Amino acid sequence: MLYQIAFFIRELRINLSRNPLMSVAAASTATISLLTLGISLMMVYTINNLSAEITSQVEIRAFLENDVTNYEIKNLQEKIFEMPQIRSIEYVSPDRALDKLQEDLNIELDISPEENPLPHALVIRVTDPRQIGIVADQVREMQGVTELKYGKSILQGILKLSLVVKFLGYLVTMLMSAGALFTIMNTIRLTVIARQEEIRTMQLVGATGWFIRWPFLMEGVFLGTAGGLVAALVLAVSYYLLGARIQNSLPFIIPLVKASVMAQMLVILLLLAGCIMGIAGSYISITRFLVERAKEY
Amino acid sequence: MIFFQRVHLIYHRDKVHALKDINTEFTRGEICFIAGPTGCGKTSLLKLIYLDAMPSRGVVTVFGKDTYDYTEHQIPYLRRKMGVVFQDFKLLRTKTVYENVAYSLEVTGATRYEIGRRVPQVLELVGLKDKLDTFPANLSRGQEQRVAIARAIVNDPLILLCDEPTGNLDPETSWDIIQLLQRIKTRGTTVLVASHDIQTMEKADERLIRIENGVIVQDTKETK
Ligand SMILES: Nc1ncnc2c1ncn2[C@@H]1O[C@H](COP(=O)(O)OP(=O)(O)OP(=O)(O)O)[C@@H](O)[C@H]1O
Ligand SMILES: [Mg+2]
Repeated sequence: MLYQIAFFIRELRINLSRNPLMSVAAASTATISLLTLGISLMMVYTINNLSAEITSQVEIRAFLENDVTNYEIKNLQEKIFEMPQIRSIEYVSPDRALDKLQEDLNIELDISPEENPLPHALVIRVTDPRQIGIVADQVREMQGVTELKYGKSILQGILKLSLVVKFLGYLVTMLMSAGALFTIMNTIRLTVIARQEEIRTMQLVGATGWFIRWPFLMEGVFLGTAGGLVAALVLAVSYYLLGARIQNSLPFIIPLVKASVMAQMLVILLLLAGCIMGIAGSYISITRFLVERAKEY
Repeated sequence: MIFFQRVHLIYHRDKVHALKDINTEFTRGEICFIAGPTGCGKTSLLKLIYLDAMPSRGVVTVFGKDTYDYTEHQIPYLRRKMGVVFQDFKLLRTKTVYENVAYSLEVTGATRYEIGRRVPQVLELVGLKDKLDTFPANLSRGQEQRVAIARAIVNDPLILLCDEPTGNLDPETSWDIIQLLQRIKTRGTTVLVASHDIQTMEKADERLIRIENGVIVQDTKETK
């Protein structure tokens, strides 16, 4: 068994090194098709991240009765925090709200603390923006809450848009995967066709289907994984180099995925995709040639 | 060992009736030469034995079993008990002389030790001991032919089928090969040799079958 594995590995090395042109051609085709797959993955990932970032900015503002005590505020905070969907709660006093208002509008208002018309408020953030309606409905009913505001229509708009974009992204990714699989399969089929005679000879000297198949499967895995690795590295490095530059040239800040996170995602997914496509491609192409064709005449 | 009963072989695609009503038998430890003009059906006859072709009519029996009864799964194991010297050699182009011969043993799961012992042995027998690491593309036709012979005999087959094994060899080497085959026969192997080389075959003084146009026209075993 161990010896057989050693033999298959030797076969793999021989096949690769004695057919270098074919191997390079197959690996580069795999690389190119996995590159396109990787780009669409990056886009989906960025869009997902973007919509998550934007929607997580959405907050509920609950306004409280004017004569609310510190104790009641603390109680209310604790009660709201018991809900599983809550990410953070922040209390904003009328004084702080006034300061912020002045800061935002860049004006000086001459209002004494007693005249301050702004209410006490709680700023609530949720973990999942889709849950925001549920949280809002519950908070509205609570003792001491007079009014409640959140960007309901904006939020729904963003959620809908991101759903559409996500769906399109997955569709494109699926098409790219199918394209990559098809290309890799065809390339491997060419390497198999080129060695059709040899495969027949192996059968004639008594090799079983699996004995012939293994080196080819390993070759498929090797070429697919190599292609995936190269594609992932190229994309990760370009993302690292270009991402910061694009960000700097834009007047506003877009929440880009961190380069290390992106690189990790690319390496894992593209290696996996290359490996699976390589093995599937070689299995399908080799199996077709292994049918005994003695009865064909 | 091998039976042919009213065997016909028709290549349907090209509408060639290659073998017609073949009735014969090859027993254990027998060597038989098969002679006849080009295109008469010698290779086709051998193909029926190593299951590269199936009879269109009639029955071919190998090792006591109708060739149609061998399942896809059993065919490799059947072939390991045979050695075949193909007319076109069929050497693996990406493998060296040594690896080509070793492959026949690798498929059977032989150990590295066995392979390392056996392969140089047979290569010495056919006089190619100094070509172990050469690729088939760098061999002469005669040398390729001898590699093919080495590969066919390396796992001590019970049936040895040789299609023109001496076609590219000088008379002296040819005669050496024939004598080698005769020696293999004495170990109990059934040896079939298809050839044009009537002179060498007659000199060997063994059973001889003549085929013409797909029909056996003479069998020295029956006339004797
Ligand atoms: N795969 C095939 N498909 C169609 N016809 C074939 C095939 N193989 C052989 N034939 C035909 O069958 C006949 C017998 O061929 P075969 O190869 O058995 O002759 P042979 O005696 O071996 O000839 P040679 O001495 O030249 O090797 C020939 O007419 C040939 O054209
Ligand atoms: Mg022939």
